[in-house]
Amino acid sequence: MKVLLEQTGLEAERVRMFNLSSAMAEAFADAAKEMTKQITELGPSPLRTQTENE
Amino acid sequence: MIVAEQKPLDEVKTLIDGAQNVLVVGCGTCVTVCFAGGSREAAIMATSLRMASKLDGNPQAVTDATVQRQCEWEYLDQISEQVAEADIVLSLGCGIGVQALVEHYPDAWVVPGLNTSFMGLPTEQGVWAERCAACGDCILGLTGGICPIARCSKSLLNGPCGGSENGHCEIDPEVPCAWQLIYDRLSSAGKLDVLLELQPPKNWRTSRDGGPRKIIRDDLRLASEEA
Amino acid sequence: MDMDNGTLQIVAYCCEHCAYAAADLAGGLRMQYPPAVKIVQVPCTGKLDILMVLRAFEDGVDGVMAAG
Repeated sequence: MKVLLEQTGLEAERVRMFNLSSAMAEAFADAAKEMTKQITELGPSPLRTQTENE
Repeated sequence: MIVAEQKPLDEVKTLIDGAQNVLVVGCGTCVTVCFAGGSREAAIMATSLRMASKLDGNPQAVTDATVQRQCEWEYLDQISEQVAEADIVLSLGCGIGVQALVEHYPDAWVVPGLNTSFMGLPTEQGVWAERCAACGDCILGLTGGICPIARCSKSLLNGPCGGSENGHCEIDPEVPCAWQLIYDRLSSAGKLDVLLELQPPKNWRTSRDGGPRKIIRDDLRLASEEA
Repeated sequence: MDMDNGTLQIVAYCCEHCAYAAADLAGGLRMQYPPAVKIVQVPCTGKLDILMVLRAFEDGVDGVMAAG
């Protein structure tokens, strides 16, 4: 999956897998925060910029 | 089955360069089961190409369609409208499928998305190995069901060469020596004397060496097509 | 999809019995997590297809999580 994303031109870090069980509410919130932080660093998707420019 | 692999995305992008409308055509038989060109792969290819072309600043409209078999013209009829609308058709069929599309739609420009490799079978999930070389004159009855033409690196017909080491071929320790396999199989079947029978030299004219081949079955031809 | 300029969109494919339940619990406990993350329930992450991820990116999301 990550390889395909890279070939298409997107950063592989934009997709991530997280393992959780149903009681791990805090872990979910942490995962959400971590992912948001990572994506903020990567910036908005370059594909999105194209869509907005159309 | 025919076993093929997808070309790298960069190569595919070069092949469809300049087209505004691309149709990706998948095939529902061989390339589906080797996960190279089935309907899923066609949809993924089309989506990837749309995304990549957008990121390159030159967005292309890429759609996909999959037919049951790409190697027979009748199955290609159903996509005639989509082919007509496309600037370039990217075939995810084997080499036969690509050519069938060209023959059935002479006005279309068709490019291959796969590298067609061999006829073989899956030895385990995710691994396919060559088994048949389509020599046109099958000798599997003399070799215990193991083909020396496809499985021996040198296609030897008289037994192993000096490079057979511990049952493996000298070119690659992962490749079994076909003649070792043949010997072991005939031995366990108690039919080693088959190897002692003298055979005439193989007539290779039935193989690719004799030129492009054709099979005509008069019993199957329609009356109006008889010469 | 709603594409506010400057607002990140992250799709989280959450499996019904594990991650979605965790997210639900997080909501019930009023835990804070960034509004960028949009939850989409799937019966199991096994259902997740490459195409679901690719199409999400094609539609302009900035990140995809597979949680299960």
